[in-house]
Amino acid sequence: MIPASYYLYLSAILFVLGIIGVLVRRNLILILISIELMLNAVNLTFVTFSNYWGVYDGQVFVLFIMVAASAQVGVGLALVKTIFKKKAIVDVDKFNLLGQ
Amino acid sequence: MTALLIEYIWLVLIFPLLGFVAIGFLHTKLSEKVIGWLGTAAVFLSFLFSLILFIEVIWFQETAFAETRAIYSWLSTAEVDIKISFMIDHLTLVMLLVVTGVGCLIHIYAMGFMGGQKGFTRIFAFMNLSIFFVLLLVLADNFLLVLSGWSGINICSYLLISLNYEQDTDIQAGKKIFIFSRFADFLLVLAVLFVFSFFKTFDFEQIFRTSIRTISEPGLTTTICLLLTFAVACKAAMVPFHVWARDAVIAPIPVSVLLTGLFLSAPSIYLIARCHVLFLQSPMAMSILSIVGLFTAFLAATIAATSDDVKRVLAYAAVSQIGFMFLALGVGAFDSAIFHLLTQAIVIPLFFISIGNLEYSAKEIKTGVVLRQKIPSSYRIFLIGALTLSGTPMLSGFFSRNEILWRTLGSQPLGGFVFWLIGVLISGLTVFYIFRSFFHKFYTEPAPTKNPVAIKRLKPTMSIPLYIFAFLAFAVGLLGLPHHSKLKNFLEPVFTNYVKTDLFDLEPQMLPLEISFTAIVILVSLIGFGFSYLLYFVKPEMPGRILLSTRPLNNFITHNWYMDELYQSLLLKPARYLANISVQLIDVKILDKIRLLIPQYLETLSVWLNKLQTGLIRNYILSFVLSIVMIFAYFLLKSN
Amino acid sequence: MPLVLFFIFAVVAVAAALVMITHKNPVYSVLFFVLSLLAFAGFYVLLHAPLVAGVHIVFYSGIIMVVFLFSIMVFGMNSKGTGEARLKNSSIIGLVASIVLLALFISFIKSGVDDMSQSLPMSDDIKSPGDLLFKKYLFPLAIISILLFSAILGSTFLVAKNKLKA
Repeated sequence: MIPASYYLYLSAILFVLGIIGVLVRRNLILILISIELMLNAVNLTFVTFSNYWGVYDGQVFVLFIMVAASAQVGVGLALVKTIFKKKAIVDVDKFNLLGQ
Repeated sequence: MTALLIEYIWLVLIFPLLGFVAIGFLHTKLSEKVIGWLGTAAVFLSFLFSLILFIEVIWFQETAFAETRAIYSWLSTAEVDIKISFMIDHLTLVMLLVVTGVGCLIHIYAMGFMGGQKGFTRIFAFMNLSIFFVLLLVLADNFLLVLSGWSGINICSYLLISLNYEQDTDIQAGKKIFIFSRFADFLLVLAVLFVFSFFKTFDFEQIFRTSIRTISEPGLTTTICLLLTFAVACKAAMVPFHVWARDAVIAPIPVSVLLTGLFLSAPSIYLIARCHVLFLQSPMAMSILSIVGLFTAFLAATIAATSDDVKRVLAYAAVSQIGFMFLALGVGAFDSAIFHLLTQAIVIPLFFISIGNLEYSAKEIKTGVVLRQKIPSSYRIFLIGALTLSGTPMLSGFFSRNEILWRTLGSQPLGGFVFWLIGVLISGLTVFYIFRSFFHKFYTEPAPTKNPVAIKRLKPTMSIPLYIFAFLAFAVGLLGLPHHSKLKNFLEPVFTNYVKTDLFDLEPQMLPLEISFTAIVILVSLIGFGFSYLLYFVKPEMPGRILLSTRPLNNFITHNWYMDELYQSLLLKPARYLANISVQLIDVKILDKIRLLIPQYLETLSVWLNKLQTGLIRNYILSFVLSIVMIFAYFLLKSN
Repeated sequence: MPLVLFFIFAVVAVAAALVMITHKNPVYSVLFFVLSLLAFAGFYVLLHAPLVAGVHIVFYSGIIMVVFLFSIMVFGMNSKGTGEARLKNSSIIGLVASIVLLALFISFIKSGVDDMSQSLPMSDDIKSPGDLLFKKYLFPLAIISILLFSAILGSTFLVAKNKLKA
């Protein structure tokens, strides 16, 4: 039997890796992917607790999160594509219209 | 058997309210004619309903009729249960008939008078609303509902007076009335709070029962009654609040009629008559009531006797007559007060409408013989009104006022006689001033005008109410014949329901005495008429000379006894002074500085904060992560 | 045996995630992320959640990642000028903050009552979560489908509008 805390440590590590990816990478698409990694870390926690308590609600929540994530990916990629078409950049550091 | 219609009593209220809502919301879609008839029909339906109810009660009811009907539980707590419920007894029925009947006639008149003028829709909407509120007040069976109706009447008076909201005088008059009525509100609220703090209920029925059963503190009852008295005095333009009466006639004639004929007297007199149980326990409040009434009657009569503006004379005539009603209430003759209210609710509109017709048909001519020749109907009606008001035998005013005077005489051994004497004096003065303005209006030789006078024909909607009022001026008197008063018999159960002590006994064996005293009243009235005839008809140059010799007195009276000036110096000037000080000190020196400092600091702050906005997503995410770290650290530290 | 499997999957997941956030070429990053996701599916199977595992593989590793790859390839975002992971000042602060966060997480999990090795029994079927989804969570399901639908509309609009202008 694997202790649930192992899974929690693991998901914490993966979540922080996702954050690092978001903070360090400059490619917009990679930022999106890092966010997916963070979401997956959270999913893992949900399933872990679902298993720990012996109820299925956590699994259902994971399914919902996946749907939300796919929606996010859809809109995010559409935005990235629009920006790319206009400016031909995917570098977030060169894209600071708000600060100008 | 109870009257059938009693279950649907809320219909009386709902008609005018619906009329108001319909006119208010649909006025852009409806033509003027439809609006007029809609407003009139709303009040007429209420009148019809009250009339049928009244007939039902008279024919099918052997015993005294008093019912309450709750239609909605407004506020229910453990301590108090306030319902929207209506109390219908004989007094209510009479008031319903007066309010809806007179209101309906005024609506009809307004259709003619206001036709084609600005504010036509507004006047009908507001008149309907105000009728609704008066009916609410009359039907209410607890003090809170009374308060609602009362405040509603106030706001309606304000709206009606400032109908021509583009004219500065009207706006000022509206404001004045509003302030005075708010003051009346304040007093009434205080009275209601006192009532509640003592009786722990708002219900009339319970309050009256408790007040009789328990030996209540006389001080408290007196306080409540005095507060009620002054609230009502403020509302009815009694001394020292009479200054706003002359502003009530600035608005168009239908508004003046409604205000002076109904709203001045009906709510006030009704409220005191309703609370007569409380008043009877406080002799002091009663005597103050009668003194206020008598003094007002005298004061208003003097003002009316010196005023040259007919409308103002009429306004003060109305106030003076309400003074008589107060006197009647004060000496315990509640049914006489209601009777006088009834006759005055007919006479005052009669005057105003005839004057309004003059204004309508011949706008340029203010006075003169021409008016008498060209518009004879107005002339005749004004004469009937004058005769009624001055108490010509067999007309309604005669019965109502003489009854008040006679009851006053019988109330107390000495005070009653003094009151009676003053009352008789005022009767003479009344005759004097009303005929003074009558001669002034119809018998003076006008300055010759070049262009021929254009006389507009009266519309039927303007003359028909006039004739109805004139007929009523005769007919109503028959309701209150001395010793055979139908009205008194009808009202008697209301006023003997709680208190058995009989204040209403007119002893038949004193008939010769009564007749002789009445003869004195008639004599004094004749003297008044004689003066008026002599001064203003036979020798029109006399008054000028008299005025010259009594200038200070005259000034004193024409300035409303300097009451306006008193208010000016006592209230307005200190208020203005305070306002000035607060402008210069608080506003300029303190608030303005703060006002200027805040944007300065904000600007510095915003310039500084602006640097944080780099527009780089990375930085935003970084701050996001940092805050997560901080939140987590906080909870971790807190848990350890 | 499960413990061994868990450690294998854990090493794969963390290593793949590390490569993903450090690799210069986005295409490789995505591919390594897919690997990491497959390891996630392994965890789900170990945690008695076969339905989630299946959906995860089909949905994430399959559809979403393919879309990512597709867009990178089509728009040529893997060209040299972009995607270089040069560390800036703010990135270093971010790195430090992330590590502090990790420490906080770990101490947070440590502060729990025990290592939570005793979990309640659970069957391995996919019927129970399905029941729950279509009975208890029917309304949220409807809401989330509306969300997805609006997301589709939104992204379509964004792209189509751009096309109209071009």
